[in-house]
Amino acid sequence: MKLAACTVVAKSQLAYADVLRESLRRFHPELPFFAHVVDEEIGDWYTLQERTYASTPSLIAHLLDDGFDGVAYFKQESLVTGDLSPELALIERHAIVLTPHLTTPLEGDDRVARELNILQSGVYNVGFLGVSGAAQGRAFLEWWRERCHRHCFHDITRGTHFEQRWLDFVPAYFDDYAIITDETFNVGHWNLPERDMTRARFIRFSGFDPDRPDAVTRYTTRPQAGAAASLFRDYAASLKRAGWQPLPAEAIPYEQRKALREGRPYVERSALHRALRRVARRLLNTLARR
Amino acid sequence: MTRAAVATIIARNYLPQARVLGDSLRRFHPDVPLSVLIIDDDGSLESIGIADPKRFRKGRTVKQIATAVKPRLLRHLTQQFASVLFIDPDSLVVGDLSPLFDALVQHSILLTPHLLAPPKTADRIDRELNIVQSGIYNGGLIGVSNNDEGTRFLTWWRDRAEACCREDVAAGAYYDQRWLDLVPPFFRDVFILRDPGYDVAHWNLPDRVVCVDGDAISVDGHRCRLLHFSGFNPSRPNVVTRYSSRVTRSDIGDMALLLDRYAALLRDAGWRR
Repeated sequence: MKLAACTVVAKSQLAYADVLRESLRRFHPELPFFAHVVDEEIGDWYTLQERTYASTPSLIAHLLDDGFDGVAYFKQESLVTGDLSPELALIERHAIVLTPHLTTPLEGDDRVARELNILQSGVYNVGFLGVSGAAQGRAFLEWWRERCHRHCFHDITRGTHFEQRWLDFVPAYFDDYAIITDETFNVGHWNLPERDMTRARFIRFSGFDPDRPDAVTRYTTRPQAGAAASLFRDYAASLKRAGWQPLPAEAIPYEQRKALREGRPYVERSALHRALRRVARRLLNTLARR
Repeated sequence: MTRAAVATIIARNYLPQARVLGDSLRRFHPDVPLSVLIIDDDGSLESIGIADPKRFRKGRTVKQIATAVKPRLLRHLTQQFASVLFIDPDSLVVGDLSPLFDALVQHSILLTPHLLAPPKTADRIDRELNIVQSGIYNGGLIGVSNNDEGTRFLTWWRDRAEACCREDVAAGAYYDQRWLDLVPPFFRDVFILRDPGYDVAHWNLPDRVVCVDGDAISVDGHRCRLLHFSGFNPSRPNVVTRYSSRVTRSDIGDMALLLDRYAALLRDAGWRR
């Protein structure tokens, strides 16, 4: 079976794709790698980040159209640190391969809050997704693409968390799927410290800031890098060597875009008001984001 | 150990619903007992190990109590029965449920998705968002086995539901039901019920096509076995459900006949306006 690997990245964030590609090549030189690059043009409906995420179903379908039997999608801020043959083999046997944020109930005083956080952002993490050209794989992509067309933004109250939350429907709509439960696959801030990052084969650096390599993620201060601190420092160094730049500021204020999506007029706010709203939004994102 | 039991949870005002459910169950499964937990009855709560019923109810709405208590009730019953099926009280058994009991012999947990296929109506995405907000799987039809994994599930579900059983979509909370989204990755041997003949309810109408020919009821060509009249009030027979105005009587074909039949059964069972 011919498989392809792919990612989506904004043009200014190509460093992520380079680092991911190199890490994948170390362990799977046989896997062709494609990076779909989203241009920095000004859009009204979606932010650049949202537009990047929303193009995921189309990219995967495009590769299947091109003749690949299956596609392994990796989110840009990821690193392959081991052999992924078992997961690639799952794509050969199932139409859809999902990786959950958590594979077992949490323990500890914050277990309820952390699991609620997962429920807010989606049971399955779109940091890795396998889709094959089987009938259910195609049907899934078509269905997902329609939802990502206009409903790939962050609005927990409405039930959306970018493209990721939609994946919760997979076990309901399809029966040809697999859920990866190996603990060395898909280690990220949400499943630390339960997972051992030093033994991981696939790591997600969601919310990681290369200018602050001592912090696991900017979304929460809960997890510590611990024994894996050097992994974070090395990742930061790799990104900088690949020419990493911080994401440019959005040209259209978030509030203006939200108003457009909700069909109501946008009222220009004072700089102070905008700043306060930014702080509030950042806090909301910190609490909810995965 | 006796093989299977069915459980439901009501407040006293839903006794007619429980009677109708019990009668309908007995028609097809005379050997399967129906256990009815009555949340406004202290003795009923005490019988499943809630030592202080008033304290349990304090600060919780009726719906919060009825849903928070579900995992504990199921665990109480899996200590006596090999498999337990929870069915919401506003349901009607109209066919053999053996496939569900059989599934629980080989599986630990049985989950019922609200929707089995993407809806096709113009408002399909809004309908899906509604499901996403309240939970992919219906807390009104769930099965558990008394094996280790089933018990592990009930222990986890009880801990989470008793800690957080409110409606707060922004927080990721919707009673006991939203927690079920975590079941497929957390637990092994989960059976996802994908037969449209079960849990026919307003959220999957009009997509599921119901045909009634006397006593023979089919759904999308499958034998209909369980109807779920969620939000139906017999004193307002033209309202399919109070939870949504999306679907009307004229949208649902033969299902409208079944609403009328259910209303008559409730009245016969003592329901009064």
